[in-house]
Amino acid sequence: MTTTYVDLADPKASWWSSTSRSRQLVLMFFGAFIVLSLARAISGENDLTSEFTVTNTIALTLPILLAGLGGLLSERAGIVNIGLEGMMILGTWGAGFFGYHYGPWGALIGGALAGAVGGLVHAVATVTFGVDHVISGTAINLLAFGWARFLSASLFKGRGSGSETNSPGFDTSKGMPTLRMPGFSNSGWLARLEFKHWPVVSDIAGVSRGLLGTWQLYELVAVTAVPLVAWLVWKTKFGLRLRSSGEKPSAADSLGVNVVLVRYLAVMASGALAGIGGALLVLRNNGAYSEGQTNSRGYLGLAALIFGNWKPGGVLAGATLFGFLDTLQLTASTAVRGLYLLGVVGCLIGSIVFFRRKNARVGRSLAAVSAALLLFYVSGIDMNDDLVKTLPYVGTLLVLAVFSRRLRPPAASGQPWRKGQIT
Amino acid sequence: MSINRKKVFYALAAPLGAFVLAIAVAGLALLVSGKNPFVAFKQMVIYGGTVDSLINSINEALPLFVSGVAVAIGFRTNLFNIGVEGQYRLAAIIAAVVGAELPGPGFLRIIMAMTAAVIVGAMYASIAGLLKAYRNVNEVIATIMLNGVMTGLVAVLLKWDLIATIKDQQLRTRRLPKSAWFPSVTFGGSELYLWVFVAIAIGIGYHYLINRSRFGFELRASGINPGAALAAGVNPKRMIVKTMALSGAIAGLVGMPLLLQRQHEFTQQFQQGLGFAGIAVALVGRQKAAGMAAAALLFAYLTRASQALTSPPTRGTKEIGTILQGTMMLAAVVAYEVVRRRAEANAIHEAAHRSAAQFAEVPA
Repeated sequence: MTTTYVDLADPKASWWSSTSRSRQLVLMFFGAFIVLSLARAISGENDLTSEFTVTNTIALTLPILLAGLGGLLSERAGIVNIGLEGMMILGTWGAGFFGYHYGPWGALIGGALAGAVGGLVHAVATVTFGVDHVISGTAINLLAFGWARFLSASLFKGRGSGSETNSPGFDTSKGMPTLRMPGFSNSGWLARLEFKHWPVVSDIAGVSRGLLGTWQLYELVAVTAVPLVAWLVWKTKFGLRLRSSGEKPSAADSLGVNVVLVRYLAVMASGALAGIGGALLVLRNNGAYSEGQTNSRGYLGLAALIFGNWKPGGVLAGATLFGFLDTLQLTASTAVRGLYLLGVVGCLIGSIVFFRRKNARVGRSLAAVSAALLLFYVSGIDMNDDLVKTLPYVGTLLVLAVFSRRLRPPAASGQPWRKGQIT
Repeated sequence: MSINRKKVFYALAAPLGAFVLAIAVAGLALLVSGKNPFVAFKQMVIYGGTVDSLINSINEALPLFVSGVAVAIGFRTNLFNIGVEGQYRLAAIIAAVVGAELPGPGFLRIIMAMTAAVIVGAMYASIAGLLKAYRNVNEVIATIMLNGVMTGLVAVLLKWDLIATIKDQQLRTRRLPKSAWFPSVTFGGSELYLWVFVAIAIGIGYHYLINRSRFGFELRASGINPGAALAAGVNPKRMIVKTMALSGAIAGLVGMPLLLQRQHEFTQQFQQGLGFAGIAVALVGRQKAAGMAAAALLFAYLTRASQALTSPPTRGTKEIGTILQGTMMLAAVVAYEVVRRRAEANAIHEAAHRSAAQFAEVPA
């Protein structure tokens, strides 16, 4: 859809709807940032945009992001992957094991391999045997848990601090340096600017310090997955075949695409990405695998995938949002109070938009939510940490409930298909 | 082989094949970790065969079976209730509070607690049903999200000092009075939960509801052919909400044998994972009441028997129980699919033969 086309079709189109989609997104991003910055300044919860928060957000976003991208590969090829959580568990175990023996790079590769094995099992069940995708995924989640525990009991127990639920850690810095940008340290001029706590300016300083200041090398490696997946799926021959397998496998098949092979590769790559996500958790945890480490992040990846409408940029946005909420709840729970203000402004803007679209019912309810949040903020009641933890899930449910008709999953995703089948 | 014997063969081949495959995989895992699988399995059979173990298996099978029934209700109409996990835990904590806090004699508390569990489970599952029916939200995703929300809700409830306290460094609801403990009988020193009769009633009720009632017929019809069901006057949206609510109502009861017979209170350690295990039970048992009962007993037995592997010479391999269950589930669904395809191919083959024979009889 291009700008001119909209103009011609509707001469009365507002300025907003005649702006291109990408420009809309950029504007929305900056709008959200300014709102966040104002919420930070007014509430005085400086952790909302501090360097510390941003650094942690990156660390907590990446596992969800990788799981979500894994889900994207698999679903774009037509295979629903509920087993992401299990593949991530396998990834944490593989990273714990291979990391212990071969160092941090071994952990990344080991996590990918272990996750890919989970993907292979899923592919055999769904592609070759035509088992329902959700059933197979659930089975993999159960299996992964059992295998990780069994393997830990036989391979980690008795080695250092290893047990049936933990692997002995390893030195995660060996050959895996922390990259520090000069001028972004705690005494640099940017830091001084951040600590002034001016609206917007200090926020920019804090966020850019977090974004550019310190990176673990493995985090950089993980981040490249976003452009890589986008390029692979939308710019290569293989990607075209992958997407056609997910939209209409019979058509792809009739044109000579090896749908079975494409799906196998996609689901295994999906498992590998989820596995790397698990490896990141291990690397962050001083190289130790521990049971329950994934803590439903595989499911959150799935949520980010839906949130992001099965697109890499969308998955990134969803994962960042979830990672941000996770960080606030883990490291700066008082900053959550600032979120109330964010909610107030956000709902107010939403309500104005809906009123202008002559949808008074939604507008009124959003205004009511906004007022209620304001009341909460003024009353000084703290939002419970545990409830903050549920925000990603509630958010996904709301997005699904409101936008489910605008979301577009791959057409054949989840449908059973056998080679040679015509419809 | 006659058609009937063939049918029986196909019906039994799949679960048996799955069982054998699971044993083989588990044996391989034991072998790789340097243990003798035959010794391990012998240990398991000996330990699992004691009266104590058998009664324990029945007790532990109860929640698994109920969870299986809850999942199966959804399956019969093509709804995947992956949220039994969330439904039963939320229901269990509320039932624990209702049973402990409301006044009344013991039996009334039991009834109130179970009613509360049913209502909470049904309401929580209905959220997913409503979203599916009226907003077209996939129920698998919705129930996964609701599971996540449940974790937070339960944590909040456990920190609410009106209903929960800290004792022995653990948050817990107040204990149900002894009069509100579900009765049990003792066999050879171990207790058999009499809640088993409730479970049997649920199983029989499920069987009749699905196979003999009008509601069950509509439920299956909208699962097999939604278009035909709609034409026959079944409102598909209302059917979705009703089925999810019913599935959730049964899911609410999953935690009841644990609450009323063993824990008598809700703590953070209240058994997890029963919802997901129920999916395995429903699949291995093919959504038939008797099949799911057998699957639940088998799973409970495997969990119990694998405890034998905590003592030498196979110490440290009791996790083999989990592997056995997971492999069995996956192998069973694969085997059922393979058998279904074989049966389908056979049917086509036979039909082709029949029509060929008919044509042969027609004079030229």
